[in-house]
Amino acid sequence: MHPAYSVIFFTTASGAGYGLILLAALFGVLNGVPLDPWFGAITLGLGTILITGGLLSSTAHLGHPERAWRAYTQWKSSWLSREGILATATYVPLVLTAWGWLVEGSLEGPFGVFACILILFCLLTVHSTGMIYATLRTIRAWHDRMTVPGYLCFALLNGALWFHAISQMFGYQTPEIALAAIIGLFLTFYIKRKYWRSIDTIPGPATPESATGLGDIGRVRLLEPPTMTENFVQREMGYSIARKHAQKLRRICFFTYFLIPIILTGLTSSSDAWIAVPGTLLAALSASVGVAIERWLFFAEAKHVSMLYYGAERS
Amino acid sequence: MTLLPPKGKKKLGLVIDLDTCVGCHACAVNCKEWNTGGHSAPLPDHDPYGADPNGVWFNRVHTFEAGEGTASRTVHFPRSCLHCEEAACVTVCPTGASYKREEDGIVLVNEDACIGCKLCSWACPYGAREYDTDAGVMKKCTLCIDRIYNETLPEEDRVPACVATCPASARHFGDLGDPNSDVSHLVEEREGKELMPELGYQPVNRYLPPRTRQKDQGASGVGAALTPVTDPDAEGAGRFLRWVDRVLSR
Amino acid sequence: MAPKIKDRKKVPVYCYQCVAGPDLMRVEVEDGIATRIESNYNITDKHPGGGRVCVKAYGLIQKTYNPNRVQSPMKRTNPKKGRDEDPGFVPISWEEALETVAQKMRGIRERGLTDDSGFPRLAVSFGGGGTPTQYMGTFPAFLAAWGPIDMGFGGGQGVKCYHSEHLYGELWHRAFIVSPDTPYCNYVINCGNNVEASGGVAGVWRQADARVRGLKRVQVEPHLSITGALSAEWIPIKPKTDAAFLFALIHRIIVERDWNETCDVRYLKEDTTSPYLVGPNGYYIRDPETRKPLIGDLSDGTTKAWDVDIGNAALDGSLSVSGIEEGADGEIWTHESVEARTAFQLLIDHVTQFSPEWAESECDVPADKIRQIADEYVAHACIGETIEIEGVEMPFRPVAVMLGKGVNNGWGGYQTCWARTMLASLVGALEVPGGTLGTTVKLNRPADNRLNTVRPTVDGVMDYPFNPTTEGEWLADPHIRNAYRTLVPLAANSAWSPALGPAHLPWLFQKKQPEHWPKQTKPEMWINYRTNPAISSWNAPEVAERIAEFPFTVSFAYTRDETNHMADIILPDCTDLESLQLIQIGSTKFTEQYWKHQGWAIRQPAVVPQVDAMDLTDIATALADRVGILEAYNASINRGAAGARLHEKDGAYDYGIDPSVPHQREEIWNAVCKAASHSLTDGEEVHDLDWFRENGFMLKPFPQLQWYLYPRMKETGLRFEMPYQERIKRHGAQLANRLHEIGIDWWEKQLDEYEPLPSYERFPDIWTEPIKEAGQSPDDYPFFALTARSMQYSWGANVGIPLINEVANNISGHRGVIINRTRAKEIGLEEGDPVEISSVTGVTRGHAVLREGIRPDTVLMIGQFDHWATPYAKDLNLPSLNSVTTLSLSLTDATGSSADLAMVRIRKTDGERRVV
Repeated sequence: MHPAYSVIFFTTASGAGYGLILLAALFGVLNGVPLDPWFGAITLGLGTILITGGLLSSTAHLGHPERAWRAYTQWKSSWLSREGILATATYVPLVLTAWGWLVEGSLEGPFGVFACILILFCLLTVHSTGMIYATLRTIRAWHDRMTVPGYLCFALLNGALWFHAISQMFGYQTPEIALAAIIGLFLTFYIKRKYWRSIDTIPGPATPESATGLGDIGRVRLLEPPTMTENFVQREMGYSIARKHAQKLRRICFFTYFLIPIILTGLTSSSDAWIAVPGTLLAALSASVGVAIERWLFFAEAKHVSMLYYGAERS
Repeated sequence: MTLLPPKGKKKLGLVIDLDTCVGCHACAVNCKEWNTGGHSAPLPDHDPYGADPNGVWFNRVHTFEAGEGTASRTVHFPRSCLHCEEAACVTVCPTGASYKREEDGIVLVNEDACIGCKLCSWACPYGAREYDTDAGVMKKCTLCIDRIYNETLPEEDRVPACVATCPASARHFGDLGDPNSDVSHLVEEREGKELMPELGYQPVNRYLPPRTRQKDQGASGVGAALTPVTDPDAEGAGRFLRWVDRVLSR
Repeated sequence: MAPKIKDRKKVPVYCYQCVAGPDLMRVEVEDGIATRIESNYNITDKHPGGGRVCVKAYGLIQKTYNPNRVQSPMKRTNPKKGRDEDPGFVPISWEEALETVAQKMRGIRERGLTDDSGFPRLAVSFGGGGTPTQYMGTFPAFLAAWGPIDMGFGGGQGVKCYHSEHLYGELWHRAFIVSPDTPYCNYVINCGNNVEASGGVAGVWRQADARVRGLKRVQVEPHLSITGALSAEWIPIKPKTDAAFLFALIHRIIVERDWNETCDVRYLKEDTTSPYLVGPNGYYIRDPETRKPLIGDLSDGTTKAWDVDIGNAALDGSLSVSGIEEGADGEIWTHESVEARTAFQLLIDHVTQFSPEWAESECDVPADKIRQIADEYVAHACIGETIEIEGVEMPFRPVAVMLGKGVNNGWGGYQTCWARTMLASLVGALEVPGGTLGTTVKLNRPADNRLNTVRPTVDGVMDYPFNPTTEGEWLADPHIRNAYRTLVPLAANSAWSPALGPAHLPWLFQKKQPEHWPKQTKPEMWINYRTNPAISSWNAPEVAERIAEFPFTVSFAYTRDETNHMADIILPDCTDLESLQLIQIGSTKFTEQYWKHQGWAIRQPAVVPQVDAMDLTDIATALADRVGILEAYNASINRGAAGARLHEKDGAYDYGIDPSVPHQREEIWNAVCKAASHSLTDGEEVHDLDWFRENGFMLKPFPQLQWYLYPRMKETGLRFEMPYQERIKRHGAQLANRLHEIGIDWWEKQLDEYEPLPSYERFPDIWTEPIKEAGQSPDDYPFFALTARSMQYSWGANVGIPLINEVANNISGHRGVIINRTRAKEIGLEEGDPVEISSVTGVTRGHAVLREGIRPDTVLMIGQFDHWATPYAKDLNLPSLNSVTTLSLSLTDATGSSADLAMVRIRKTDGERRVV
């Protein structure tokens, strides 16, 4: 699949944003962090910027952004529609939670409920994003049990690392946050490993033979494509990346989202601020880069079944 | 609404005979000429005289090779929207622009409601949808809805443009929901194939596979009845295969 | 918001871009702009292709609005000509253009129409297949009014056509083109005939119907063509060895098996010359009085003339017989009780050597496969069965043998054409329902009705207009430069003969003057229309060099191209959708065009000319006027040069135009419309131009019975001239005498081909001759390079149209050089690799296309375009066989043709891999 930068940016940024907001709300409700208005403003603010920027960028690849409102109508069948509705709806508990934290200085009572709703909506929104991909049977690499957990884990991981870094800036050395980040790291590592193994070993069910119905004659291969230059389908669906490049990128991805953050987090989170702040910030930045690469690979490694009509040997 | 309608009785679609298709592309070209003035007009055409011509076609003809050596077959393979019963391109659409008609099963795009997110093209396993970068909307085969119900056309012309032009009679249009229609009979007689049935989209269009090639018994099968010079079982078949092997391993 | 369309109309016209036309169609025109092509559905039930148009027709919109069209008349400013010279064309007015040409023409007329060598000073070349005549309006009337013209400079004829079939086909069964009776045929042995690509819509339509009905086609060819892909079986034969395969089929049927069981004995005895007795000198034993050939009658033990009531003709064996033999140049041998074998016995004796095992070693088809196919052929022939066609009972023999280009032209063409006709004759399948039929005549007259060309001879076979070879009658001084009347008796002398002679010889002779031959002069003026010899000939680059040497060239042109690159004047004529003409349609013609109707169809301006172009009819009239031959030109139109006679000799009608004044195209075609409709309906319906413009065409029924020659042969009591070719033997001997008398020894190999029963030769080896002549080793050129027809390109001159290029590029193999997948791997080639294909005389480049469906010793290039001047096409970088074929006398057969074939080597070159 063609990796569209707007979509990669969108899912990476909004994932991080929802993760950050979710963790902030969670720790806020559980009194895991002080409800300092500045701290709240920066965490929730950064989260809002990330999800809003992401959402806006996602409309950049639309042919008719001005009609984007129509996407709220088909929640009954379309995960994309559901994602849009949930993403928008999330702003309501977000504003109410922020009011509680920044103005009231409390996340108890109704504000606690709002924060819990916010946590739920963040999870549901990211889940919807994952489902858009996971329900596409046409793309084996997306139609995988690990796709939705992957989206959720990466959102949490990114959110946790950013939340950790901001906490360090405010001098909150909360071991639970570091722990959450480390749990997020291992969980993601496990899920991503499982995902890659799955897509590497289990091909999609369709073959050139089933795509053409010519399997009774023998092995089927494309002799002539139907167009002399690449058409829309080939450009959109036919992006492919050499296996050796994919392996290299997977290693870089592993270094940036897992290895570097886990080392930095482990080594610096309980150090003095002048080490901990840059250390955890670097961990968050590194993971963000890693997730962007992961998201790019998620597209680039995904083969669309329609490519069977253009010479692909497996779906 | 992008929920699929209740399954109707009528399922208009195409039956394509891969045994007689000569791969001439008249169907693809006539489709383009009709539809660039039809329901989804215009179909863009960029850089026609340049190095990278590009544009939207609803119907494309591939050529496949199946099998090995002298037993290999070359098969021309026209491909367009198959108007699936379980049309995922419809259900993924966030705006309701993509829809399946209850009355005849045709899958269409309402261009006024399309936001151009392209998700439907991702959901289509057959690569049948093409994005119009000029209009910012998705386009696809309409089964020539502007011909088949067009009362200003003579009745015999009320078939999709691709069917109207095919010189090999390799394209048949009709109601695949009616077990007594000509197209349903064709599918039954020739064991018409569903493409990628394992994905479960239940395409309406069917493909009639090439008739099997006559192998060693001869093109007609009558050879063996006529005083064979050598026992075909003992020697003929073996010799033929050895020859195939020899020719191809040269 | 798009402007509202005020005026929308559908204009009926025809497409005749290829020889498989016409496709009748309608052009949708919106506010004067042609937007869409559609089939003319009014003819659906009358047209043999269901009234459909072929994909080429859809390209006519782009053809009309092609931005690369020549915008106005132009003249050359650079006197130097050559591929690397910029012609420096500048636009001029029509007045200047026509006057420049007319002035030159007047000069020629003043000096004399022929030059010191006796060759016409004016030469004119047209594209192949006769398709240009469907577009050239009244230009034929101009040519007729002019006088002697050299129309023998070919644009690829001979290698690009079914050459030997044209000549021998007309000789044996009035079959300029041979076709199976597809609607009835059940079994076809198809040696390389690619009807699904070259037979147009009618070919595809009728073949598809037949396939659904159950017709089995065995495709015998080195690569799996479009047609092969849709056949019941594919036999990958070695290129140019089809004669061995076909000879072995005959061997199987009459030597290995009992011919009394496998053959239609009655047909052989009564309807062919098989029982004719052949004397010791190889000529028929004739009755001394009547000179009629004799047949042995087993019922009373006597010999009788062929037309006497014979109880039971002796088909095989020999008889002791008295009579005369008539050899070459009137030589007579008188025999008393000489032993004479029947022609059929000579056939048996001749083919005894061609066993399936022998053939296997020659052509790579297993002996048992050959036996199987022969047996299937016989089994499907339904010998003894009859069928009723329009109330007439006729034999029903649903089998046919078809030959493709490359099989039936060049060396081996005589052998394959003879063998296929022989195979049809053996089972009685020649010219009967279901069998092997001819469609049209181009060499015999009258050209509009092949049945009426059947005229008797004393031999009991159809007359044939051989070019005379006897002393005194032989044309020792060729009247045009390709010398068809001098060198090729079979080429006859019709309007088509110049193109069917050795049309490449002038190019060859322009380079090297042959010995004992009139001095090869250049034409003072050369006009070309819808042809591009600089691209389409064999060894096209060499032909381009010759064209550059011509002193004054006038090119009718649609776009710039390689031939008009050398032009002095370029004239843009109105193209397909802009011009006016009425043509004859229906009856039987070309391949698969068997109509049950005949009539007339119009091509009319659907749009105004998109450039400063003139209709060719108006150009012809203007030139005739300026040159001073207007009266003769108009008279020629009145005599029928525009398709229909404007006045009937018997005074039945007279729509003639006034010969003394010039007429507008509408006036001329209005008269043609009236005359055509009058003659079609015997005056019952007379329609003018406006009627045709509205209705597009008119038809009346054409009897299906006229598809078959057999009833006419029975009516006239004549026999098909099979198997023995006494006339060919005699003409060969006489031609040899004539040529030797004037010392010519460069046509010896061709003279050897005049055999009464064709012998076999290792035909592929002939194509290594040019390699040996160049002092190189044939081992260095291990591949046969072939080409194949393409529905999208053939004759269309449309390679410069993006739509057609897009389509063609998506069709198997058009985009490069097809090579066997396994073989490619062995020589280190991968899909899309840039390759260079070279023969001893030329080189071309392209990209490798790997597939299973081709022999390992063969490569195929479908596109034949190495364009270097045609806009758009010159940037396509397609390989072309025409750049590697060798223009050579040693590759020229006795009919003056060669196969489109070259021995080549392949080398991977630097450059980008082009992957699909």
